[in-house]
Amino acid sequence: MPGLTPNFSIPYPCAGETIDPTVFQDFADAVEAALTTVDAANVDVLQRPRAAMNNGAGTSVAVNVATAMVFSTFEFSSDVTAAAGGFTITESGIYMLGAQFRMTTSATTITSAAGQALKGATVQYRRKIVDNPASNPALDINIMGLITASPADVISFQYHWTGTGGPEDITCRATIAKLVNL
Amino acid sequence: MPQNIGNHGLYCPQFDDYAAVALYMQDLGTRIDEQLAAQLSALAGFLTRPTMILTNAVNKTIPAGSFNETIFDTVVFDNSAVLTFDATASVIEVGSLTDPYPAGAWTVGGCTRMTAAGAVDVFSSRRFSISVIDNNLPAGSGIITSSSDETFDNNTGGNEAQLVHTSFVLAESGSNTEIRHIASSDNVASATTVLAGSFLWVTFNGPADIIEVA
Repeated sequence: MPGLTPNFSIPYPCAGETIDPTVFQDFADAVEAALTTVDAANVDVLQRPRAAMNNGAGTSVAVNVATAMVFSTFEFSSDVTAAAGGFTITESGIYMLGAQFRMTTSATTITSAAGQALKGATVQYRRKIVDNPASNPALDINIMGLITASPADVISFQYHWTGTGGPEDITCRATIAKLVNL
Repeated sequence: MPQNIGNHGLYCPQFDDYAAVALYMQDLGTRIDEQLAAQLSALAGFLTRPTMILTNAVNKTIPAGSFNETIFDTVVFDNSAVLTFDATASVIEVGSLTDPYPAGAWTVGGCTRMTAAGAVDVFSSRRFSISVIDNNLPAGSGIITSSSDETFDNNTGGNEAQLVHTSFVLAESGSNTEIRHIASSDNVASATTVLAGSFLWVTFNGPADIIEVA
């Protein structure tokens, strides 16, 4: 008769001539260790790195300048660092990011607006819309997508508009969540 | 007769089984090992769900007033034999005879950024579309789902960007499903460049069935 189970090496008690409390304790300890291993995987599934933040009353953005959103309200974060400049990744993985931008209108003529998410200095996701004829709307922009990310990667968000006048206040809420392990 | 316990195939011996305690303990350990291994495998599978991300390492060209269906050329991430990239056709193949896709919910999406290579027809459109195609239908092929985004170039510096995403369910494990894309531009004054660093991605969310445990 084999001495251990194949996956978690749980010993088979009563395999020999000596049967005492120790053999049953060893069995229970091995089952407990196996459960601890499964618990750790369970926690990893339930506690995925994630964060959400917004920039409160908004970030001032001058015309023709791609401007980084400055975040001030950190709604929640777990194993992702949420800071004024963006999210800093702490665990490698595939992440889903999203951002919603809204222009707080002022006495300005808008011809186009774009919101984008960057990893480091590289644009990952972007959406640009135009206003025709040029006017003064809120121009909501939503972006989302999957990215690969490694520890120390910074995910930031920018807004860029064209037209005349300004600056405009842009409100932004950004979210990120890990989907898949590398 | 042994008394069954719970829902995991475990049991405890009764009075007339005590002579077989050793065999019972071995069987108990084996069953616990199998059940925990199955749970660990399911959890690990959830953490490594089939996912593929593509990009284009170089700019691609949409001829004036036309389209391009082979934008993506580089695999950024691929963790599963269930998803394969046909680089020639620039198509993501979902499932094969040897590696069928799991049944359940999937999400697909992408982003393209386009700039006119030369002159701009003001307010000409830039469009990006993705389609999930099932090639197993009785009539041949059919579109399961699609998503499109259209923006307009008003000659304010280019880098027009389109963003798409959608979800779909594959009811049964299988193969021969594809994810295709098309980028188009009705700028006739010049060709349109799809900038390097555009993305197309797909990920498996999980089984569509909800299993209830009594």
